[in-house]
Amino acid sequence: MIDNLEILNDTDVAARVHELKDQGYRFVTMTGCTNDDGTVDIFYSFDKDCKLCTLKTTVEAGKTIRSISDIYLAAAFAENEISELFEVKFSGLVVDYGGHFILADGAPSSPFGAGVIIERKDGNNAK
Amino acid sequence: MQNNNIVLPFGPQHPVLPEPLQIKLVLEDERVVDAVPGIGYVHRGLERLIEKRDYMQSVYVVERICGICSVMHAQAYCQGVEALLGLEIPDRAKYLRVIWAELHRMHSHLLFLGLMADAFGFESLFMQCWRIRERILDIMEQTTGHRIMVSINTVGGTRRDLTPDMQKHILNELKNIRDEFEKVDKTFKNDLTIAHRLRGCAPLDKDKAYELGCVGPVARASGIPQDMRKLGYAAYGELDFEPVVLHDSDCYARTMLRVLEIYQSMDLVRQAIEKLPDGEYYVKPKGNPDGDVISRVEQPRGEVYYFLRGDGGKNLKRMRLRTPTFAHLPSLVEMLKGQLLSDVPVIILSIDPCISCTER
Repeated sequence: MIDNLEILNDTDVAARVHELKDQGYRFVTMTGCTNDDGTVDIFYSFDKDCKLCTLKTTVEAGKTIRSISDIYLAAAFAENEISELFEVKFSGLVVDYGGHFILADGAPSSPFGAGVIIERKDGNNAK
Repeated sequence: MQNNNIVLPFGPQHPVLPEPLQIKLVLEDERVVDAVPGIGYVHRGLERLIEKRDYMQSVYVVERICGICSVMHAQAYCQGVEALLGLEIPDRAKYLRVIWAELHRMHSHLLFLGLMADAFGFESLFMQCWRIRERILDIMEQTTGHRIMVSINTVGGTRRDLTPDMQKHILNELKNIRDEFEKVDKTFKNDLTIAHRLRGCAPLDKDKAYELGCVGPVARASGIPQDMRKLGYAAYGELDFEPVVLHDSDCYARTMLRVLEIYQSMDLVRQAIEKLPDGEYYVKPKGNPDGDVISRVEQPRGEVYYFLRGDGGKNLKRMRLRTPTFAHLPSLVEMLKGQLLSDVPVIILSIDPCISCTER
Protein backbone atom coordinates (compact mmCIF):
# COMPACT_ATOMS: atom_id res chain seq x y z
CA MET A 1 0.00 0.00 0.00
CA ILE A 2 3.04 2.30 0.29
CA ASP A 3 3.99 3.52 -3.19
CA ASN A 4 7.61 3.15 -4.34
CA LEU A 5 8.58 0.92 -1.43
CA GLU A 6 12.00 -0.72 -1.64
CA ILE A 7 12.93 -3.46 0.82
CA LEU A 8 16.65 -3.62 1.58
CA ASN A 9 19.15 -5.17 4.00
CA ASP A 10 20.29 -2.65 6.59
CA THR A 11 23.83 -2.86 5.17
CA ASP A 12 22.58 -1.67 1.77
CA VAL A 13 20.59 1.32 2.97
CA ALA A 14 23.41 3.88 3.06
CA ALA A 15 24.45 3.19 -0.53
CA ARG A 16 20.87 3.56 -1.73
CA VAL A 17 20.44 6.75 0.28
CA HIS A 18 23.56 8.15 -1.39
CA GLU A 19 22.00 7.36 -4.78
CA LEU A 20 18.75 9.08 -3.84
CA LYS A 21 20.60 12.16 -2.68
CA ASP A 22 22.52 12.27 -5.95
CA GLN A 23 19.19 12.05 -7.79
CA GLY A 24 17.93 15.13 -5.92
CA TYR A 25 15.66 13.58 -3.31
CA ARG A 26 14.79 15.46 -0.12
CA PHE A 27 14.88 13.61 3.21
CA VAL A 28 11.37 13.45 4.68
CA THR A 29 11.66 11.31 7.79
CA MET A 30 12.39 7.92 9.32
CA THR A 31 9.89 5.74 11.11
CA GLY A 32 10.39 2.83 13.47
CA CYS A 33 7.84 0.09 13.96
CA THR A 34 8.21 -2.98 16.20
CA ASN A 35 6.95 -6.27 14.79
CA ASP A 36 5.31 -9.08 16.75
CA ASP A 37 8.50 -11.17 16.57
CA GLY A 38 10.51 -8.37 18.22
CA THR A 39 12.26 -7.20 15.07
CA VAL A 40 12.04 -3.55 14.13
CA ASP A 41 11.04 -2.16 10.74
CA ILE A 42 12.77 1.09 9.84
CA PHE A 43 11.24 3.15 7.04
CA TYR A 44 13.26 5.91 5.33
CA SER A 45 11.14 8.32 3.26
CA PHE A 46 12.43 10.69 0.60
CA ASP A 47 10.60 13.09 -1.69
CA LYS A 48 11.22 14.50 -5.11
CA ASP A 49 8.61 16.64 -6.88
CA CYS A 50 5.96 15.46 -4.40
CA LYS A 51 6.67 11.79 -5.21
CA LEU A 52 7.64 9.67 -2.24
CA CYS A 53 10.30 6.95 -2.28
CA THR A 54 10.44 4.79 0.85
CA LEU A 55 13.13 2.32 1.86
CA LYS A 56 12.33 -0.38 4.40
CA THR A 57 14.75 -2.49 6.35
CA THR A 58 14.04 -4.95 9.15
CA VAL A 59 16.59 -5.34 11.95
CA GLU A 60 16.90 -7.51 15.02
CA ALA A 61 16.19 -5.85 18.35
CA GLY A 62 19.32 -4.53 20.02
CA LYS A 63 21.21 -4.18 16.75
CA THR A 64 23.30 -1.13 15.86
CA ILE A 65 22.94 0.05 12.29
CA ARG A 66 24.69 2.70 10.25
CA SER A 67 23.43 6.25 10.61
CA ILE A 68 22.59 8.19 7.45
CA SER A 69 23.01 11.55 9.22
CA ASP A 70 26.37 12.04 7.48
CA ILE A 71 24.46 11.92 4.17
CA TYR A 72 21.38 13.87 5.28
CA LEU A 73 21.94 15.97 8.41
CA ALA A 74 18.17 16.16 8.85
CA ALA A 75 18.13 12.41 9.60
CA ALA A 76 20.05 12.97 12.85
CA PHE A 77 16.96 14.07 14.78
CA ALA A 78 14.83 11.18 13.51
CA GLU A 79 17.60 8.71 14.34
CA ASN A 80 17.98 10.10 17.85
CA GLU A 81 14.26 9.66 18.38
CA ILE A 82 14.21 6.10 17.04
CA SER A 83 17.22 5.09 19.13
CA GLU A 84 15.43 6.32 22.27
CA LEU A 85 12.03 4.81 21.53
CA PHE A 86 13.05 1.49 19.93
CA GLU A 87 15.60 -1.21 20.60
CA VAL A 88 17.83 -0.04 17.73
CA LYS A 89 20.96 2.08 17.89
CA PHE A 90 22.75 4.06 15.20
CA SER A 91 26.50 4.26 14.70
CA GLY A 92 28.08 7.45 13.39
CA LEU A 93 25.34 9.85 14.45
CA VAL A 94 26.43 13.38 13.54
CA VAL A 95 24.44 14.84 16.44
CA ASP A 96 24.02 12.44 19.36
CA TYR A 97 21.74 13.48 22.22
CA GLY A 98 22.77 10.40 24.19
CA GLY A 99 19.22 9.31 24.96
CA HIS A 100 17.94 12.73 26.02
CA PHE A 101 16.38 13.98 22.80
CA ILE A 102 12.72 13.38 23.54
CA LEU A 103 12.62 11.28 26.72
CA ALA A 104 13.06 12.73 30.17
CA ASP A 105 15.54 11.51 32.76
CA GLY A 106 14.22 8.35 34.38
CA ALA A 107 11.83 7.53 31.53
CA PRO A 108 11.68 3.83 30.59
CA SER A 109 14.20 2.98 27.91
CA SER A 110 12.94 1.86 24.50
CA PRO A 111 9.23 2.32 25.35
CA PHE A 112 8.23 1.28 21.82
CA GLY A 113 10.28 -1.90 21.99
CA ALA A 114 8.79 -5.39 22.11
CA GLY A 115 7.47 -6.61 25.43
CA VAL A 116 8.09 -3.41 27.32
CA ILE A 117 5.56 -2.97 30.08
CA ILE A 118 5.36 0.50 31.53
CA GLU A 119 3.98 0.61 35.02
CA ARG A 120 1.27 3.20 35.45
CA LYS A 121 1.94 5.75 38.13
CA ASP A 122 -1.17 7.41 39.51
CA GLY A 123 -1.16 10.97 40.73
CA ASN A 124 -1.63 12.03 44.33
CA ASN A 125 -5.39 12.20 43.96
CA ALA A 126 -5.78 8.58 42.81
CA LYS A 127 -7.74 6.33 45.14
CA MET B 1 34.36 25.82 21.66
CA GLN B 2 36.85 28.63 22.10
CA ASN B 3 37.43 30.16 25.52
CA ASN B 4 35.76 33.46 24.72
CA ASN B 5 32.51 31.75 23.72
CA ILE B 6 29.62 31.51 26.10
CA VAL B 7 26.62 29.17 26.06
CA LEU B 8 23.30 30.90 26.58
CA PRO B 9 20.17 28.82 27.13
CA PHE B 10 17.34 30.41 25.13
CA GLY B 11 14.15 29.01 26.62
CA PRO B 12 12.41 26.71 27.42
CA GLN B 13 10.45 29.62 28.91
CA HIS B 14 10.93 32.84 26.97
CA PRO B 15 8.51 35.73 26.32
CA VAL B 16 8.70 35.23 22.58
CA LEU B 17 8.05 31.49 22.63
CA PRO B 18 4.42 30.38 22.68
CA GLU B 19 5.53 26.90 23.73
CA PRO B 20 8.53 25.45 25.57
CA LEU B 21 11.58 24.98 23.40
CA GLN B 22 15.18 25.31 24.47
CA ILE B 23 17.95 26.33 22.16
CA LYS B 24 21.46 26.40 23.57
CA LEU B 25 23.14 29.30 21.81
CA VAL B 26 26.92 29.34 21.57
CA LEU B 27 27.83 33.02 21.40
CA GLU B 28 30.95 34.86 20.45
CA ASP B 29 30.29 38.35 21.77
CA GLU B 30 26.78 39.09 20.44
CA ARG B 31 26.94 36.71 17.50
CA VAL B 32 25.64 33.13 17.40
CA VAL B 33 28.27 30.65 16.29
CA ASP B 34 26.32 27.47 17.00
CA ALA B 35 22.94 26.35 18.30
CA VAL B 36 21.66 23.09 19.75
CA PRO B 37 17.89 22.64 19.94
CA GLY B 38 16.48 20.77 22.91
CA ILE B 39 12.96 19.40 22.97
CA GLY B 40 11.07 17.03 25.23
CA TYR B 41 9.21 19.49 27.49
CA VAL B 42 5.74 18.66 26.17
CA HIS B 43 6.20 15.08 24.95
CA ARG B 44 2.89 13.39 25.74
CA GLY B 45 3.26 9.96 24.13
CA LEU B 46 0.25 10.46 21.87
CA GLU B 47 1.58 8.02 19.27
CA ARG B 48 1.42 5.37 21.99
CA LEU B 49 -2.09 6.43 23.01
CA ILE B 50 -3.30 5.81 19.45
CA GLU B 51 -2.48 2.13 19.94
CA LYS B 52 -4.87 2.03 22.90
CA ARG B 53 -7.87 3.60 21.13
CA ASP B 54 -9.89 2.31 18.21
CA TYR B 55 -9.36 4.00 14.89
CA MET B 56 -12.50 6.16 15.15
CA GLN B 57 -11.66 7.41 18.67
CA SER B 58 -8.13 8.19 17.52
CA VAL B 59 -9.41 11.05 15.34
CA TYR B 60 -9.98 12.98 18.58
CA VAL B 61 -6.47 12.14 19.77
CA VAL B 62 -4.72 13.37 16.61
CA GLU B 63 -6.75 16.59 16.71
CA ARG B 64 -5.25 17.24 20.11
CA ILE B 65 -1.67 16.87 18.95
CA CYS B 66 -1.92 20.56 18.12
CA GLY B 67 -4.95 22.83 18.24
CA ILE B 68 -3.76 25.22 15.55
CA CYS B 69 -3.33 22.44 12.97
CA SER B 70 -6.11 20.20 14.31
CA VAL B 71 -8.10 20.09 11.06
CA MET B 72 -5.09 19.03 9.01
CA HIS B 73 -3.94 16.46 11.58
CA ALA B 74 -7.36 14.83 11.44
CA GLN B 75 -7.44 15.13 7.66
CA ALA B 76 -4.07 13.38 7.20
CA TYR B 77 -5.04 10.68 9.70
CA CYS B 78 -8.48 10.09 8.17
CA GLN B 79 -7.05 9.95 4.65
CA GLY B 80 -4.59 7.31 5.81
CA VAL B 81 -7.23 5.17 7.52
CA GLU B 82 -9.57 5.55 4.54
CA ALA B 83 -6.76 4.29 2.27
CA LEU B 84 -6.26 1.26 4.55
CA LEU B 85 -10.00 0.57 4.51
CA GLY B 86 -10.25 1.10 0.74
CA LEU B 87 -12.91 3.70 1.46
CA GLU B 88 -13.82 6.38 -1.07
CA ILE B 89 -15.42 9.35 0.62
CA PRO B 90 -18.18 11.41 -1.06
CA ASP B 91 -17.07 14.29 -3.31
CA ARG B 92 -18.93 16.78 -1.16
CA ALA B 93 -16.86 15.75 1.85
CA LYS B 94 -13.66 16.36 -0.11
CA TYR B 95 -14.69 19.96 -0.83
CA LEU B 96 -15.88 20.52 2.72
CA ARG B 97 -12.49 19.34 4.00
CA VAL B 98 -10.80 21.93 1.78
CA ILE B 99 -13.03 24.74 3.06
CA TRP B 100 -12.34 24.06 6.73
CA ALA B 101 -8.65 23.34 6.09
CA GLU B 102 -8.14 26.67 4.34
CA LEU B 103 -10.02 28.55 7.04
CA HIS B 104 -7.71 26.86 9.51
CA ARG B 105 -4.66 27.87 7.46
CA MET B 106 -5.85 31.48 7.47
CA HIS B 107 -6.30 31.63 11.23
CA SER B 108 -2.94 29.91 11.75
CA HIS B 109 -1.14 32.38 9.48
CA LEU B 110 -2.83 35.31 11.20
CA LEU B 111 -1.78 33.87 14.54
CA PHE B 112 1.79 33.70 13.21
CA LEU B 113 1.68 37.26 11.85
CA GLY B 114 0.45 38.53 15.20
CA LEU B 115 3.16 36.67 17.11
CA MET B 116 5.78 37.91 14.67
CA ALA B 117 4.57 41.50 15.04
CA ASP B 118 4.72 41.06 18.81
CA ALA B 119 8.27 39.69 18.53
CA PHE B 120 9.55 42.72 16.66
CA GLY B 121 7.68 45.06 18.96
CA PHE B 122 4.79 46.24 16.78
CA GLU B 123 2.00 45.77 19.32
CA SER B 124 -0.82 47.45 17.40
CA LEU B 125 -0.10 45.29 14.33
CA PHE B 126 -0.15 42.23 16.56
CA MET B 127 -3.60 43.20 17.82
CA GLN B 128 -4.92 43.99 14.33
CA CYS B 129 -3.82 40.56 13.04
CA TRP B 130 -5.49 38.80 15.92
CA ARG B 131 -8.61 40.92 15.61
CA ILE B 132 -9.02 39.71 12.02
CA ARG B 133 -8.27 36.18 13.16
CA GLU B 134 -11.21 36.40 15.55
CA ARG B 135 -13.55 36.78 12.58
CA ILE B 136 -12.31 33.50 11.14
CA LEU B 137 -12.71 31.83 14.51
CA ASP B 138 -16.27 33.16 14.53
CA ILE B 139 -16.89 31.40 11.20
CA MET B 140 -15.49 28.22 12.72
CA GLU B 141 -17.80 28.52 15.67
CA GLN B 142 -20.84 29.22 13.51
CA THR B 143 -20.15 26.31 11.17
CA THR B 144 -18.80 23.67 13.54
CA GLY B 145 -19.68 24.72 17.08
CA HIS B 146 -16.05 25.19 18.09
CA ARG B 147 -13.49 27.91 17.46
CA ILE B 148 -10.22 25.94 17.39
CA MET B 149 -10.75 22.19 17.89
CA VAL B 150 -13.44 22.05 15.28
CA SER B 151 -13.48 18.23 15.10
CA ILE B 152 -14.97 18.33 11.64
CA ASN B 153 -13.12 15.45 9.99
CA THR B 154 -13.94 11.85 10.61
CA VAL B 155 -13.12 8.59 8.89
CA GLY B 156 -15.59 8.50 6.01
CA GLY B 157 -16.03 12.24 5.43
CA THR B 158 -17.01 15.15 7.62
CA ARG B 159 -19.21 15.40 10.70
CA ARG B 160 -21.23 18.36 9.42
CA ASP B 161 -22.44 19.88 6.21
CA LEU B 162 -22.55 23.52 5.13
CA THR B 163 -26.02 24.82 4.37
CA PRO B 164 -26.47 27.31 1.47
CA ASP B 165 -26.97 30.09 4.05
CA MET B 166 -23.73 29.18 5.74
CA GLN B 167 -21.91 29.14 2.42
CA LYS B 168 -23.25 32.60 1.62
CA HIS B 169 -22.28 33.82 5.08
CA ILE B 170 -18.70 32.53 4.68
CA LEU B 171 -18.32 34.25 1.31
CA ASN B 172 -19.64 37.54 2.71
CA GLU B 173 -17.39 37.33 5.71
CA LEU B 174 -14.37 36.57 3.53
CA LYS B 175 -15.03 39.77 1.57
CA ASN B 176 -15.03 41.75 4.81
CA ILE B 177 -11.93 39.95 6.06
CA ARG B 178 -10.15 40.66 2.77
CA ASP B 179 -10.96 44.38 3.06
CA GLU B 180 -9.62 44.49 6.58
CA PHE B 181 -6.59 42.38 5.84
CA GLU B 182 -5.57 44.57 2.89
CA LYS B 183 -5.00 47.42 5.33
CA VAL B 184 -2.79 45.22 7.52
CA ASP B 185 -1.06 43.84 4.46
CA LYS B 186 0.02 47.39 3.49
CA THR B 187 1.74 47.79 6.83
CA PHE B 188 3.68 44.54 6.35
CA LYS B 189 4.68 45.65 2.86
CA ASN B 190 5.52 49.29 3.48
CA ASP B 191 6.54 49.81 7.08
CA LEU B 192 10.19 50.70 7.37
CA THR B 193 10.70 49.25 10.84
CA ILE B 194 9.42 45.84 9.73
CA ALA B 195 11.70 45.84 6.72
CA HIS B 196 14.62 47.00 8.84
CA ARG B 197 13.99 44.24 11.37
CA LEU B 198 13.37 41.36 8.95
CA ARG B 199 14.97 42.03 5.59
CA GLY B 200 18.26 40.18 5.14
CA CYS B 201 17.81 38.46 8.50
CA ALA B 202 18.80 34.76 8.58
CA PRO B 203 18.70 33.96 4.88
CA LEU B 204 18.58 30.30 3.91
CA ASP B 205 19.36 29.76 0.25
CA LYS B 206 17.36 27.39 -1.91
CA ASP B 207 19.93 24.58 -2.09
CA LYS B 208 20.60 24.62 1.63
CA ALA B 209 16.88 24.70 2.44
CA TYR B 210 16.28 21.68 0.21
CA GLU B 211 19.26 19.77 1.59
CA LEU B 212 18.12 20.36 5.17
CA GLY B 213 14.62 19.09 4.39
CA CYS B 214 12.66 22.35 4.69
CA VAL B 215 8.96 22.20 3.95
CA GLY B 216 5.98 24.52 3.59
CA PRO B 217 6.32 28.30 3.85
CA VAL B 218 10.01 28.11 4.87
CA ALA B 219 10.86 26.14 1.72
CA ARG B 220 8.64 28.29 -0.50
CA ALA B 221 10.19 31.50 0.89
CA SER B 222 13.55 30.09 -0.23
CA GLY B 223 12.30 29.58 -3.77
CA ILE B 224 11.28 25.91 -3.58
CA PRO B 225 7.83 25.42 -5.20
CA GLN B 226 6.88 22.59 -2.84
CA ASP B 227 3.29 22.28 -1.66
CA MET B 228 1.65 18.98 -0.71
CA ARG B 229 -1.73 20.33 -1.84
CA LYS B 230 -0.42 19.76 -5.37
CA LEU B 231 -0.74 16.02 -4.60
CA GLY B 232 -4.42 16.66 -5.24
CA TYR B 233 -5.75 15.13 -2.02
CA ALA B 234 -9.31 16.02 -0.92
CA ALA B 235 -10.55 18.38 -3.67
CA TYR B 236 -7.29 20.26 -4.26
CA GLY B 237 -6.84 18.47 -7.57
CA GLU B 238 -10.03 20.17 -8.82
CA LEU B 239 -9.08 23.67 -7.72
CA ASP B 240 -7.01 26.23 -9.56
CA PHE B 241 -3.96 27.35 -7.58
CA GLU B 242 -0.19 27.44 -7.71
CA PRO B 243 2.14 27.45 -4.70
CA VAL B 244 3.14 30.94 -3.55
CA VAL B 245 6.91 31.18 -3.96
CA LEU B 246 9.31 33.94 -2.90
CA HIS B 247 13.05 34.04 -3.41
CA ASP B 248 14.59 36.34 -0.82
CA SER B 249 14.76 33.45 1.69
CA ASP B 250 15.03 35.75 4.74
CA CYS B 251 12.72 36.37 7.71
CA TYR B 252 10.86 39.00 5.68
CA ALA B 253 10.17 36.54 2.86
CA ARG B 254 8.97 33.92 5.34
CA THR B 255 6.59 36.49 6.82
CA MET B 256 5.33 37.91 3.53
CA LEU B 257 4.75 34.43 2.16
CA ARG B 258 2.16 33.86 4.88
CA VAL B 259 0.56 37.20 4.05
CA LEU B 260 0.17 36.11 0.41
CA GLU B 261 -1.04 32.64 1.38
CA ILE B 262 -3.91 34.16 3.33
CA TYR B 263 -5.23 35.59 0.06
CA GLN B 264 -4.66 32.24 -1.61
CA SER B 265 -6.66 30.47 1.11
CA MET B 266 -9.53 32.95 0.70
CA ASP B 267 -9.54 32.17 -3.00
CA LEU B 268 -9.48 28.42 -2.39
CA VAL B 269 -12.41 28.65 0.02
CA ARG B 270 -14.36 30.67 -2.56
CA GLN B 271 -13.55 28.15 -5.32
CA ALA B 272 -14.49 25.20 -3.13
CA ILE B 273 -17.83 26.76 -2.18
CA GLU B 274 -18.63 27.63 -5.79
CA LYS B 275 -17.83 24.08 -6.93
CA LEU B 276 -19.32 22.30 -3.89
CA PRO B 277 -21.18 19.30 -5.32
CA ASP B 278 -24.52 18.06 -3.99
CA GLY B 279 -24.84 14.76 -2.20
CA GLU B 280 -23.79 13.01 0.97
CA TYR B 281 -20.91 14.22 3.10
CA TYR B 282 -20.29 11.04 5.06
CA VAL B 283 -20.12 7.34 4.34
CA LYS B 284 -19.99 4.83 7.17
CA PRO B 285 -16.67 2.95 7.25
CA LYS B 286 -16.73 -0.83 7.26
CA GLY B 287 -14.07 -3.23 8.45
CA ASN B 288 -10.79 -2.52 10.17
CA PRO B 289 -7.56 -1.02 8.85
CA ASP B 290 -5.00 -3.52 7.64
CA GLY B 291 -1.56 -2.80 6.16
CA ASP B 292 0.88 0.11 6.04
CA VAL B 293 0.17 3.51 4.55
CA ILE B 294 1.77 6.96 4.37
CA SER B 295 -0.48 9.99 4.22
CA ARG B 296 0.77 13.53 3.62
CA VAL B 297 -1.04 16.84 3.91
CA GLU B 298 0.00 20.50 3.70
CA GLN B 299 -0.43 22.04 7.13
CA PRO B 300 -0.07 25.81 7.68
CA ARG B 301 3.57 25.19 8.61
CA GLY B 302 4.26 22.70 5.83
CA GLU B 303 4.13 19.03 5.03
CA VAL B 304 2.89 16.68 7.74
CA TYR B 305 3.67 12.99 7.29
CA TYR B 306 1.59 10.22 8.82
CA PHE B 307 2.66 6.58 8.84
CA LEU B 308 -0.12 4.20 9.86
CA ARG B 309 -0.01 0.45 10.38
CA GLY B 310 -3.11 -1.65 10.92
CA ASP B 311 -3.27 -5.39 11.56
CA GLY B 312 -6.96 -5.97 10.92
CA GLY B 313 -7.96 -5.05 14.48
CA LYS B 314 -9.89 -2.00 15.61
CA ASN B 315 -6.81 -0.33 17.01
CA LEU B 316 -3.94 0.77 14.85
CA LYS B 317 -0.72 -1.09 15.50
CA ARG B 318 1.42 1.98 15.02
CA MET B 319 1.05 5.62 14.12
CA ARG B 320 3.99 7.91 13.58
CA LEU B 321 3.88 11.48 12.43
CA ARG B 322 6.55 13.92 11.38
CA THR B 323 5.46 17.50 11.66
CA PRO B 324 6.85 20.53 9.81
CA THR B 325 8.58 21.97 12.88
CA PHE B 326 10.42 18.67 13.43
CA ALA B 327 11.63 18.94 9.83
CA HIS B 328 12.76 22.52 10.47
CA LEU B 329 15.04 21.82 13.45
CA PRO B 330 18.18 21.38 11.27
CA SER B 331 17.40 24.46 9.18
CA LEU B 332 16.76 26.55 12.32
CA VAL B 333 20.27 25.73 13.53
CA GLU B 334 21.64 26.79 10.15
CA MET B 335 19.61 30.03 10.12
CA LEU B 336 20.85 31.03 13.58
CA LYS B 337 24.55 30.67 12.82
CA GLY B 338 26.22 34.03 12.30
CA GLN B 339 23.19 36.05 13.44
CA LEU B 340 23.01 38.58 16.25
CA LEU B 341 21.54 37.52 19.58
CA SER B 342 18.95 40.31 19.29
CA ASP B 343 17.60 38.71 16.09
CA VAL B 344 17.24 35.21 17.56
CA PRO B 345 13.59 35.66 18.65
CA VAL B 346 12.35 36.68 15.19
CA ILE B 347 14.45 33.99 13.50
CA ILE B 348 12.92 31.29 15.69
CA LEU B 349 9.44 32.67 15.09
CA SER B 350 10.03 32.90 11.34
CA ILE B 351 9.67 29.11 11.05
CA ASP B 352 6.38 29.39 12.98
CA PRO B 353 7.44 26.71 15.48
CA CYS B 354 4.82 24.36 16.85
CA ILE B 355 6.31 22.38 19.69
CA SER B 356 3.17 20.45 20.62
CA CYS B 357 3.17 19.05 17.08
CA THR B 358 6.86 18.29 17.18
CA GLU B 359 6.85 16.39 20.44
CA ARG B 360 3.46 14.70 20.24
